[in-house]
Amino acid sequence: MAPVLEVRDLKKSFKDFAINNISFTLEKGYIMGFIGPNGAGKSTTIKLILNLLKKNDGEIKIFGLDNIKYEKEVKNRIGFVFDENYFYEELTVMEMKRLIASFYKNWDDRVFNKYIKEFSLPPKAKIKELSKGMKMKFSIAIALSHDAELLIMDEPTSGLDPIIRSELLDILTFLIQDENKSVFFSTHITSDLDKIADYITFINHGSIVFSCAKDDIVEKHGLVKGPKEILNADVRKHFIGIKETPYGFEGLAGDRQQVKRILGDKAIIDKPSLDDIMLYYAKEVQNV
Amino acid sequence: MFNLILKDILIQKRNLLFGVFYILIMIFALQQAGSAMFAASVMVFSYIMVQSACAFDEKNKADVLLNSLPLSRSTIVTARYISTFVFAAISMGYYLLFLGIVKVFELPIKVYIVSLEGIMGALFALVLVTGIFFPVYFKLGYIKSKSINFVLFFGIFFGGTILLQELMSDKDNASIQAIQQFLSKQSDILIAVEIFAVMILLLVISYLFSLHNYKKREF
Repeated sequence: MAPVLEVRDLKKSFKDFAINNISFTLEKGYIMGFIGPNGAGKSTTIKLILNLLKKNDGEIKIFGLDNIKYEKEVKNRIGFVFDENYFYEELTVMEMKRLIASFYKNWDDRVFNKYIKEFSLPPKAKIKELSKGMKMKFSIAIALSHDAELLIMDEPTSGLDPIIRSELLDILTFLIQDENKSVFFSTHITSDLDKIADYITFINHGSIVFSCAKDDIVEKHGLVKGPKEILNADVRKHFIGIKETPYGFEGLAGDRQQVKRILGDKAIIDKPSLDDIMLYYAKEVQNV
Repeated sequence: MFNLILKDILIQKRNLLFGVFYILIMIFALQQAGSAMFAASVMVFSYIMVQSACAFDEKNKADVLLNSLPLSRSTIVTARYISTFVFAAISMGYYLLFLGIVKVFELPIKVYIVSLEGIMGALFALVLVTGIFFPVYFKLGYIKSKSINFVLFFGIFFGGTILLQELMSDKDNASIQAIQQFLSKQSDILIAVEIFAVMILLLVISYLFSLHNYKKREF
């Protein structure tokens, strides 16, 4: 069966930024976290997937279909949530819903009304009267009401308070219990993904650093803390980045087992969080 | 498509209400204008509605939303062209409403009767202005096309008025006489059909440019 989302050798250049040959694949039934610092190319990639930006080269397939050739068909099966409000502020919740619903083949008002109730969204309120959290919930209700098989979310949690963020993650966890649904979720708040993501794709400076199962990434890497004296040139080679302080060092090792063998009990080696991993890769902390 | 057009109206409910006053102001301002009163009233209010619809789209970054939906870019462009005529119909409705009120209550205000000439004039002016504006708008968006819009509106509205006045006052001019002769040989209906044909041609060319520009646009 074709993957839900397949990006191959995607290229896009701007005056001062480029997406360089990026590739990754999301299989059906999984949540992929798309992480990277601000300006790494996350939103650009999502806009290329949705054909809001025109690619220079490469291939994007959604449900095995070309995203441009079968644009309408593919978009009927996608739900999207953006980081900011793209709804008409002058319209009410129901007016906006009516406009959007009219374009989807499989729109289900019962599902929408269920979410409206669940999220306590006032149907007669104008979009501009909703708080940021409410707008995000409305956006999610819209994205989930046409039986979308793939949910594409661009920084949906940014600017939300922890309670609404947690609610959103619960919804996604519930949603993914249906094996026909997949989620592509971009964020720079990696802690959101610790709970829910199955795969992580990490983009930095417009290039993919890695794209693999979250557990593998966390298992493979090691967060090493120890005295500076043990840091010789041979040891340093095994690190993606090292932060040195007057009292010692902390660094991210690409292969935890190997570093464990080399350093033994001279250092403390922990599992890193996704945050640690992104930080060391993105900051390119001294790696000599 | 229908919902996109309805959206263009719903997002500017307030303008729709103020439309009553716009048309009223135009009627008062153009007491001496004859049948041009209708054409100018309809054209000005329709154009305000068109501009406002485009401005609301830009303000709400609607292009991102609309182009993420299962909706082709040609539908978005077509809807905006049709909206323009819906706005014209609304403007005409308002004008007729005032005409009716003035006639029924025998108010001491001149509201000139709607003629075929007036309808054709209003539509032609509207098609001309939007026909030039839309391809630029669909390429650059509302903010960037604003300066062109300014020149267009005042150029055609005032330039057109001045040109018409000049032509009317210079009745001895040979070329004007030739045009008058040419037109006087034709029936009103034939002239209307000719203007209509030019309008359609203008619309088609404008639409194709708009479509071409919007299909290439990035958001």
